[in-house]
Amino acid sequence: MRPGLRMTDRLITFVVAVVLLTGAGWIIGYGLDSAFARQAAARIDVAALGRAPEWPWWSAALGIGGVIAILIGGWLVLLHLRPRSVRAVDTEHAGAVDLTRIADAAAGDIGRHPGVQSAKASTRIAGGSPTVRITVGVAPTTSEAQLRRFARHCADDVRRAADADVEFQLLVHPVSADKVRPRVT
Amino acid sequence: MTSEVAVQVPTARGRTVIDNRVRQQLIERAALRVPGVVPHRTLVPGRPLPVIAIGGDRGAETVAIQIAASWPVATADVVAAVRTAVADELSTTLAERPERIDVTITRVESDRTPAQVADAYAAEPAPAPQPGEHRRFAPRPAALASYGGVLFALVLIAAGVVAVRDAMTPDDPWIAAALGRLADAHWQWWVWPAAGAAAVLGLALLVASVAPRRRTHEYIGDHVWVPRDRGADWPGAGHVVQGRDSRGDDR
Repeated sequence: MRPGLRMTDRLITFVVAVVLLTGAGWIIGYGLDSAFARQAAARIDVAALGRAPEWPWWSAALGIGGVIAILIGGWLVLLHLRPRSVRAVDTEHAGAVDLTRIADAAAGDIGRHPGVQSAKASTRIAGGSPTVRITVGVAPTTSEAQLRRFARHCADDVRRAADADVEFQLLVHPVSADKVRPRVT
Repeated sequence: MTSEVAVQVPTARGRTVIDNRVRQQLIERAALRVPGVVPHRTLVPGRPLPVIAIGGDRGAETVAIQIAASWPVATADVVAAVRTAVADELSTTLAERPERIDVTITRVESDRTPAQVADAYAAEPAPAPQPGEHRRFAPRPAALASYGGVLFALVLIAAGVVAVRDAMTPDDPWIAAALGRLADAHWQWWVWPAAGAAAVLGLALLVASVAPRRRTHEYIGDHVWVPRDRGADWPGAGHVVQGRDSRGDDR
C-alpha cells in the first residue's frame, strides 16, 4: 500500500473517530443535563431537518450527492484493491525488467532445494525501494548458517537478474517437525 | 560426351528480395546460440519465444526481440550478448546493420533439478551488500486504519446508493422518512447505550488511526528475517544483529 493511501486512511479514520466521540459526548452531556450540551442542542433547528425534503432542490441534491458519494467510495475501494506488487523496474543497462517474473523464478528455484519445504515470492516497495520478498518454509532443524547461505545466494541471483538496485528479503517460516515432507534430491 | 548450351546472360541485374521471415529465422538462431537463452514452446495457445519484430523499409533497420532466459540469469550480460550475436549474424549473412536492437527478457525459466539447486546453493556466495537501514524495510502488516478507510468507503457507497434511489423514487423516500423521525425524536432509554457504543467505537477508531504498524519479522542479518512470535522455536533464536535488543527493536 502506498504511504499516501495509508495516510489518507489514517486521516479518514481519525475524522470519523472525532465525529463519533464528539457526537457521543454531546448526547451523554445532554442526558446528564450539561448546560453546554443543552445550549448546543437548542441552537439546532431539528424541525428544519424534517422540512428539508420539501425544498424544491432536494431530489437534485440527493441525486448529485449520491453519485459523488458512490464515485468517491468506489475510487477509495479500488485504491485499496490495487495490487501492491512492483512490475517494471529500470535496469542499469538493459531497459526495464519485470521484477515479478524474477521473483517468481527465484522462488521456484529455491523451492526446489531439498532443505526448503515451500517458497512463495512477492514484490513491493519497502522503505522506498523495490523489494523482492521470498517467503520460505523450512524444517526447524535447518541451521542458521544454511539460511544465511540461501539468502545470500538468492539475493545475488536476484540482483544480477534485475540488473538494478533492488532489496532482497528472505522471510523464513519454520515448518513444524510433524509437517515436514521428505524431499527427493 | 559434352554438349554446349548457349546461356543467355541477362543484360540488367535483377533485384534480390530477402523476406523478413528469413531475417527472423537468422535472428532467432543467433539469439538461441547465446548461453542462458532458451526456447519457450507452448502447447496451449500462447506465445512461443523468441518473438522477433523487424521494422524499417530497407532491410532490418530496427529489431525487437523478446526472449526467454534460464534461471539464474545475468540480465545485463545476456541482453548484451544477444544484441551482439544478432548484429553479427545480420552483418555477416545479409550485410545489414540495424540502427537499433531492443532485447527484452519476457520469461525466466527455472528448470534446475533439486540436486542441481542443492549443488548451486552449497557453494559459499560472494559477500553481498547488506541493507543499511533494515528497519525501513521490515515486513509489516496492514495498518488498522486501512480497515477503517475501507469501511468508510463502503458506507459512502451504500449512502450514495440510497440517496440516488431516493432521488429516483420520490414517492417512497427512505432518507426523508428518517429525517422526519429524527425531527420528532425524544429522549429514550436506548440513547444511553447507543451513545456509549459510539464512544467506544470512536475511541477504537482513534487508537487505530494513530497505532503504528508493528514489524512481523526480526532481522537476523544476511537478508534473513524470522517471525517475531516464532523466534523461540528457531535454532538461532538467541542471535540478533548488533545494536538491537531481544525484541527486534532498534536500541
